[in-house]
Order: sequence, then C-alpha cells, then structure tokens
Amino acid sequence: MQRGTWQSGFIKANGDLHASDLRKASFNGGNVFNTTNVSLGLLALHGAYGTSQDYTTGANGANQIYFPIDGRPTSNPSWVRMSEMDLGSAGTNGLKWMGLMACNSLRQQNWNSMQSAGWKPFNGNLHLLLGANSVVDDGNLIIWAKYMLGLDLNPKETIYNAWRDSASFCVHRPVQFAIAGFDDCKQDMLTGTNSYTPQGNVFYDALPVAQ
Amino acid sequence: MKKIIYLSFLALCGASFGQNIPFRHLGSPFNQTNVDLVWAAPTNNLPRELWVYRAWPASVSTDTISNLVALGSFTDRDRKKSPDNPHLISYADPTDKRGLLINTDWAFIHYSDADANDMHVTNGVPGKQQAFEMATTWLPKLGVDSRQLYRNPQGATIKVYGGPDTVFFYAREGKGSALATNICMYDVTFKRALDGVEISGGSARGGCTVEFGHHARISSIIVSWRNYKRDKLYSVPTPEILLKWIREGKAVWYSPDFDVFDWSSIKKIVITKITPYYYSDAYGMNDNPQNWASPFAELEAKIEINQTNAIFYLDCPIIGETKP
Repeated sequence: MQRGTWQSGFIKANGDLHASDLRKASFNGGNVFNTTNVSLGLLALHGAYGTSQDYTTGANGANQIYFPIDGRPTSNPSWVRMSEMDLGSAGTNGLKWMGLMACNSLRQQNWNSMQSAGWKPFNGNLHLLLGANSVVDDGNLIIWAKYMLGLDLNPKETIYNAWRDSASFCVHRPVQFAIAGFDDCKQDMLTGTNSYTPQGNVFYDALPVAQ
Repeated sequence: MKKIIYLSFLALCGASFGQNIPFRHLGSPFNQTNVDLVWAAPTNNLPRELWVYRAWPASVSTDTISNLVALGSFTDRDRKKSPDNPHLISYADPTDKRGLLINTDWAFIHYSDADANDMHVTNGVPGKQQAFEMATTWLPKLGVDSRQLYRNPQGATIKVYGGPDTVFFYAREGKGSALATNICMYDVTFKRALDGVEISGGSARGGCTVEFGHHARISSIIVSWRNYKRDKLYSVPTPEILLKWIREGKAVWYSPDFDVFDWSSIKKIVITKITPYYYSDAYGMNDNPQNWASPFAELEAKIEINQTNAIFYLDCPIIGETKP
C-alpha cells in the first residue's frame, strides 16, 4: 500500500493488540479502527466460529464468530465476539473498508444467525466488510493491494473485485471468500468514495470457492 | 573419504532444495512430539517417486493475446507502456472497468471486466453446464493444455471446481431473513497437475479460472501456466519416515472447523489419508520467486474430542533422497 502512496495509520502486532482495541465503546473498548483516521483497515489473526447460541449481552443468542487475542505479555489471552464490534466511522477519513483476514471470519451460517438475532458487526458508515467463509491463508494480501492500486501494470480493480480475484492466490484448498456491506458500495475504488455514506441495502456475498 | 563427504553434502542439498516449501503459509506449526501418531492411510495409489520441477521462461502465443485483446475490445490507445519489462503486456480501458495483464515469462493472464458482474443483474448468468461448456471452449484460446489439467481420480474426466456467486440481500438495518437471493456469476476453475498430482491452492498458482456474469459475459479470467520442466527425481518416504518427520516438527496443521486448539488433551492421532500436492508460486506475490514446483503431502488425521471424532490436516514434506 505504501508503494501506492498510502500511509500506515497504525500497526499493532502480537502483544500490542488487545481485545479492548477491537471492542466498541459500549463494551469499554477503544474501537481502534474507527478512531484513528484510517479508511481501509486490515485485521489478520485467527478466527473461530461458534456452533451454539451465545447469550452474552448484545449477542442476542446468535452463533458468534470469535477472534482470539493473545495479549501477552502485558495482558491475558482473551476473545473478542463479533457482536462486540462496531466497524465504520463517518467523514472522509473514517473507516470505510475493513478486511478480516481470519479463518471463517464471515462464515455464512454464523452470518445468517447474526441476521436472525438482529445485529451486524458494522454500522451505517462502513462500506464493505471483506472476510472468509472458510479456512484461509494470507497468500492473497499483497495481490489484493496490487489489484486495488493497479500496481505493476495490473488492472486496477474495485476493492470488492480485488478481494474476490485475490482468493485464487491463496495456497490453501479450498478457500472461499465472502463480502458483506451495502450494495451501493460494490463499485468502490480506493479513491473517490471516502466521503460517501451508504444508502443501499445490506448484502452478503458468498463468493465462489477458489481451488 | 573426501568423495563420501562430497556425496553426502549433495544429498543434503537435494533434500533441502526440494523441501524448502514455506509451510508457514499452509498452517500452524505442529509441535506435538509426545502424541501417539498412528498410520492407517492406504498408500497403494501413492507415487513411489516424485519430481521437483523447475520453471523456465514461458511464452504466450500471439493468438492468445489477440483473443484477450478482442475480448476486452481494447485498442492500441488502451495499451500501457512497460519499457522496463518487455514480458508484460497490459491494457486498461479509459474507465478502468476492463483490464488485462499478461506476463509472457510466467504465462500468467489476468483479465477483468467490472461491468460484467453486477449483483443486481442475473439475466443470462449461465448455469453449471453452460458455464462449463463455455469455459472449456476458452481453454485452447488461452493456451491451456487440457492434457495437463487435474483429473478426477476415478476416471479420465477433468476435475471442475468453482460454482455460483450467490448474493443475499437484507433490509438496510440488516435484521431478519434475506429479502432476495441472486446468483450473479458462475465460476469455472480447472487446476493444473504435474504427473497427475494437483498443484495446491487457487488457480493463480497453476490452472485456469473463467467467470461468467450477466448475459454470459466474461467477468474475470485467471491463467497461470508456468513452463515447468522436470529437474530432480526424489523417492517418496515410507509412512514411518513421514511420522518421524511430523514428530520432529516438520509439519503444519490446519482444520476447516477450528483455528485454535488445545493439543494437550489429545493422546492419539490417526492418519487416515495421504494426498500429494505440488507447491507452486503465484505471479506477483514475491519479488524473489522460487521458480520451482515441489511436492508435499496432505495428511488427513482423526482425533477424538469429547467422544466424537474430529478431522484435521497435516501438511508435511514428502520427498526423500534424490534418485540418480
């Protein structure tokens, strides 16, 4: 992304990332992606999906998706529930696109359960949430960036299509990416739509399995 | 004595060359040295020897280039200049809706048409059979040798991957069941095989994907068809050696169902299936590509958790000593 003249807003690696960084304010969290003037966020970590209903506050009995946070050495290992997230922030410099590079980060059955329970992990400011409906590896990330930016003479693609096409570069098999968001933001490029507030309906796209 | 040392050194170099697969991309380190590993996987169909392949400069025919330029309706004015890299051919229409990149050295192709895939337009999106037939007609146009495509183990038919792109629409507040479901695109993917062994991962590592959107328009093509030639032949180790390598920490693990796991409670792991794959680089991911394709093994393993069986996978080296 730096080659495309994008600046890094912040990087939190390993023990620097705490569960509270990802939680929204109502869960005593810092919601760090929303509050640090980043338009494009990427969270790369492990993910796990629940197979039973979670009745903690805010989860409304949905089958959750969980993100383990090591936290050591400064704090204890913990989990962040997807219901504790509230991705998206207003304004030109607010969070508009978020990649969750974690296994099953947008698992379809759990997404359906969240919908039934009446919540989603993003607000009306986030345009697209990019994740996976399967086990994934991070083999796609460099290509995702190159396709979004059109680097190295690659065709410049929408954020959506760049995520989709980059799945073919993963080394795992099979890999299925998924994207959720507002349907009027599917054609978003990296520039030109930061200040737009989504007006459309919510969608969930289970992309074809990349083998 | 000098000769013996020299030969031993060569053998070590050969093994490390072939086994230098970046396993960290395939899974998490498997460090369970004390667990009881039991081999119960049939090895009847496992090759006794496997080649490591080296990539040589490839080429893309003028016919293939012409087919793709015509597909995107590109003109000479759409061509991007690449004086520093004569192997790159790149086109983009003025709106950046359609684009094409060809790297002739890698025989890599990426074509995209953003207008051909619209989640709200389903007219003319082909079904499974029609998409397969259309994709098949494109294989020779893209320079793909169908004889090298991975085939179903039970017969001579080509293995076809891919499937529909299914979009679910919800009310803006995102609550309740989907209001509508659209199939807006169909993906057909073929994978490449070397000596009948499939290249692991997506088609950008070895294979061909063609995606069809509304009105059967091609929305995306990815072809990766490196010029691989046999380099060195290696013996495939016995199950005992593979188990030893796993105990030595040379394997990584992953599961489709769990990403984090407490192995301390597991006393016994049963290997139930072994499948060889090739690891191959994908174009554009690394400034210093390894330029070879090397085999590794995927082992399906069974563990008992709370009186139920769970499946996970171990990926580990599969090549032993160099054959003369």
